[in-house]
Amino acid sequence: MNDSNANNVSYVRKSMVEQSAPPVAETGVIKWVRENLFSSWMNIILTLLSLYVIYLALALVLPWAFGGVWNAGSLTECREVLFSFYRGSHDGACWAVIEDRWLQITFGFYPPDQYWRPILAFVLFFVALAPILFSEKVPGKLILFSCAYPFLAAWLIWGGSFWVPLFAAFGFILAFLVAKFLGKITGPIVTNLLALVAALLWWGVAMTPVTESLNKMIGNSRFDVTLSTLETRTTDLPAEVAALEARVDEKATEIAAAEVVKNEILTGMVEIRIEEFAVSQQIEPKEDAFQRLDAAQETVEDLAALLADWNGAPVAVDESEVAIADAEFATVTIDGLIGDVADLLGDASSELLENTAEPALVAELMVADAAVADPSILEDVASMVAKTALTDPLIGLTERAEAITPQTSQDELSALRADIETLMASLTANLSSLTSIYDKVVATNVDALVAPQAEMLKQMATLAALRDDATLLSQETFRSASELSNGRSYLTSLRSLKERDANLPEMAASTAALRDALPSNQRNMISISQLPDGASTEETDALKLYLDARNTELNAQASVRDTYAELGRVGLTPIDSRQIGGFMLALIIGIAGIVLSLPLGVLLALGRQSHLFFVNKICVAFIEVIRGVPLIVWLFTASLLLNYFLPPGSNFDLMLRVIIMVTLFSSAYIAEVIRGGLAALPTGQYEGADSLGLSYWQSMQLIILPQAMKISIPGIVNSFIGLFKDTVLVVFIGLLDPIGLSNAIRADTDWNGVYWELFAFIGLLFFIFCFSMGRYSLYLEKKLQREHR
Amino acid sequence: MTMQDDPRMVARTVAPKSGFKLSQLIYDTRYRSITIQVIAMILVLFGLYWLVNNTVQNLSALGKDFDYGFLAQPAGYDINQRLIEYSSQSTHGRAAVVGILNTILVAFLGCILATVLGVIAGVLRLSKNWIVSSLMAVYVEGFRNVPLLLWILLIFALMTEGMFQPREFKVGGDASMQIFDSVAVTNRGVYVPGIVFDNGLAANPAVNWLILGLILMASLFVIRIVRRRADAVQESTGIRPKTWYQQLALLVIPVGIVMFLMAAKLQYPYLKGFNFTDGVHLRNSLIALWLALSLYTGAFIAEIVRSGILAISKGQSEAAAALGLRPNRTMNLVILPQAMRVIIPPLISQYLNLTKNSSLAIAVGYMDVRSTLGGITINQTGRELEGMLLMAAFYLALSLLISGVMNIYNNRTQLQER
Repeated sequence: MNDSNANNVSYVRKSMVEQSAPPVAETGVIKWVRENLFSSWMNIILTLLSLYVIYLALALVLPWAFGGVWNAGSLTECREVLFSFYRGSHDGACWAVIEDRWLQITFGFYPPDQYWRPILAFVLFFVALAPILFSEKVPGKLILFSCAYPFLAAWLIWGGSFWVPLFAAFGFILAFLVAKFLGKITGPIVTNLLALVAALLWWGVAMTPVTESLNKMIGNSRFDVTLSTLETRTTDLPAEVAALEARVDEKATEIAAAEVVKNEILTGMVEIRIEEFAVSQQIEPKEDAFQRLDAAQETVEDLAALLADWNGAPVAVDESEVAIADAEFATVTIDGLIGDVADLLGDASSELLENTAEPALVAELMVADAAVADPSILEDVASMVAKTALTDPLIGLTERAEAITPQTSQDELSALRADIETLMASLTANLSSLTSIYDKVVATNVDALVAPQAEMLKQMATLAALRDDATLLSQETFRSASELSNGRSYLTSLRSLKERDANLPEMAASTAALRDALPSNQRNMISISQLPDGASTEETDALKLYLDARNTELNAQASVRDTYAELGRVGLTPIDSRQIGGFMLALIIGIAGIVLSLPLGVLLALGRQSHLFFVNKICVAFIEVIRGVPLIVWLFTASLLLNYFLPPGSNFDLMLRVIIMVTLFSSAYIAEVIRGGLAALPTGQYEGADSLGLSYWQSMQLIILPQAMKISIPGIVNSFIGLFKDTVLVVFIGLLDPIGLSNAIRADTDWNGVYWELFAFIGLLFFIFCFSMGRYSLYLEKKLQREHR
Repeated sequence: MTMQDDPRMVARTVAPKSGFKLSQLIYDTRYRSITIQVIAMILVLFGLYWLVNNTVQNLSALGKDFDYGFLAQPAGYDINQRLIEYSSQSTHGRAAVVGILNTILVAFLGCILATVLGVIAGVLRLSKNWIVSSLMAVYVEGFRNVPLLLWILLIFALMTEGMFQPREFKVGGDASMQIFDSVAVTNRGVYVPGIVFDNGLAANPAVNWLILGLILMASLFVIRIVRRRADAVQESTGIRPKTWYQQLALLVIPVGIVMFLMAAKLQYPYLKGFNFTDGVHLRNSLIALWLALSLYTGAFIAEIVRSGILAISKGQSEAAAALGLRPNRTMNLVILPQAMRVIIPPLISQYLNLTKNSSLAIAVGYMDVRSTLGGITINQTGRELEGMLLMAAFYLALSLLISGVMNIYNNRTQLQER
């Protein structure tokens, strides 16, 4: 058979059949859903379960979050607003606390007019990071800025004269210069040691006198000008402060007036809803009484069953111990049940007697408002049973219950049960008409409340705006007032400055004389408790005299130094560490910890890989001890013990101590990350470096570390995430991190009882930070993997 | 002239014949490492001396000495949660032990729950079911990226602020007990039924529990022997004898007999006055710490499990299928044994993290070692240095112990590698 033949046969198709659409179940969304969500029984159960969990979570969170209140001055006001919208205090979030305090949670007690400083430092951080993360895309010179950034950031955040960070940086520059020049003359060990010594000498010996004399020089040159400006300023300021205070008072009056308006609106709403409350007050005790009746009825049933079993009062069947014990147990149980019935019925009747009103009163209330209310309410009122119809039989029932004995007949018990059930039926009727009334009243009130609700929201917004103004005003007032008080004390210390400065040598001489008078073994003591137990009174007194004189001298020196530092300051307003808090604190501790721990971590990692036995063991011990003990223990060490380990008399800022401890802590983790990077490099790299004749440090610096560090960046980012989350632990040693601030906010009477909103806000901020960093580190990991292939 | 004799041909460095020069300490590679080590040693020793000297000076200036005698003095404070007998007349040392046991308790419970949660979440995250896997992703990312402390505080607040008061459980109240009226979740903690021994072998319930635990361990040991026998039979004959009923009997019967002898019975919590009595009271502090630690660490373990399973190449499961193994056998015999090798090392470090994180107990007032020894004892006796050192030593020892035990296990599972 040839082709032409086939073509001519009539029953052979000549064209392709048009493709028909695939079955509905095999395409598009349906196919996807079938294959992914409902492929097996297990999968169906999982899908339905997940959907249910999602529904539960959303049903709980969404109405709460989106039905929240944004404008309110306190939790009470939040609840008032929620109440006016038919919602209980738990059904809506009080976001007003975030609106009120988010700046505090972000910056702590940092002065608001200086917020630009930490923000600038934060923005510059990314500029400083650029040469490290995107070395190929930015000019190489930018790395110099990265080196200078730590000093710049510290200066921006803490303020003070600009030369303080400059001088601190100069130590590193000095070390670098020494290393550069000596490197040509001697070997690396001597060079590095000498560079280190030079830097330490500069920081330890030369820096303070240089800074102080610079302060003094500039201070003396401006002394007269500063004094006169300060004098005029302190005379002008009181009037300014008074004017501001007057304005604050004015604002307070305005706010009070607005609050009165708000309260009026609220009262109006309460009036509209008064019937509703009256009815709901009726419903609750009646429901309680109903439950008690129900329980009493069941107890009678149990009792009857038990009595039927024993055929009346329990009597032991024979003389055996078991039988007697059984009978005794039954007697006790029966007595208990009888008591329970009487108690339950008594509770129900007192509930009804004391906590409910006559239907007539309800009717009166409804009739009074009949014009507004649904007229069918009156029918419901009519169907209500009189209060005495419920309480009178109940009292009778209680008496009957009290009269029950084990001898009571089953008939009597079932009669009691039947009577209780009858009472329950009339109570149910009562309750259903009450519920019906309630629903109808609520339905009518919904319309009546629309206008006041809108008014309420408007008034709350007005109030919020007024309060914002008041906050700004009071901040300004506070600033002026503190400028005044600071100015006054500064003026006093300025006036006496020259005199105090001149007195210093004399004081030093007299202290030295007192010291010389002491026996030589006591001259270095810093406390009288160091004296041996048998020391005589004269000895003690002499030492005490010297120690007091020394303290006075040190204080005088410090105060002169401080005055000169302020007088000679060229730079930013100094900020105390205690004013730093919130997310800013977490970021500062986290970033400082990671950045400062990098050099230490590199050294530790190299030490751990080193073949030098002693160096290796020291590094291993350090890393394992640090990693084996929780951060919180290290933080307590920083706050409780660090002062023990440092030279006597040195006492510095808690935040700095925490940063030191966190640096040591994270250096151990960074060391492990970098060790991983070092181990990931192929041995050929090490061998290649060796074969080029490079020394250890040269090979590390030029070949190994640049590659190892690059591989380690994702790990470093991950440790940063961990450290950043762990910074919240500083709350336990009294620093004001976000959680510490949330406690402080809750301690304020306005916001006492706010939990979820603060947790949600803080958690969300942390989540955004950590999640985005985590994604970035994942991206880096992928990129690095590609590069290595 | 041979090659060795020509001085220009010598490839090795030959030490100069002349005497030792001081500069060799720095320039000669043979001596330099010693020089560096000596310098490092001197620096470290000097640093240590400096620290110790400062500490001695500071202590004497405060009129304190270094003395662990306070551990034998009466503590004078109460601990609301304790696993061993303790009263306020007991010593600080005993208080520390109570704290240590509490730390170990929450760490142990946490490790178990975290592993369960982590394995479930990790496996479900790999599920083809989009809804389930994204729900698990939300769980993992949500818990991993928010500080643990916040979760602890949140769960604690949920327990204390969100639950009913015990008096609400009265007739007519809003609350009711769960699971056949046996568990009460109140704002003072969770009350669950407890097992009591009417006819215990010892007066102290802890000793009774210890006896039960020992019997259980003995049963498990015998079960292992039974399994080995079964393995041996399978090796030699190719047929595995059925032993599951033997194992079950070994597990249940001895413990059951002893419990029957001790007249063990369930004691249900019930409302008395304004609070529940009887049963076991799980305090809010324990629940919050336990749940938060488990959920948080579980999220990390989920990632570890997921990456462990993903690390096994697809060829393994395809080969298993080609051999005719069913999916569950493929998982048990092929995938899991290999995945375990990837999973175990990071899992160990998560257990360590959980144990260390249990020191956050301070946030909810759970009396762990940091709250007893490192908190109240230090405050009462003023022995910060001694107390902190002891506590650091405890955590260090615990960490080294856990990582040691787990490393032994790890080495065993790693042995198959060549």
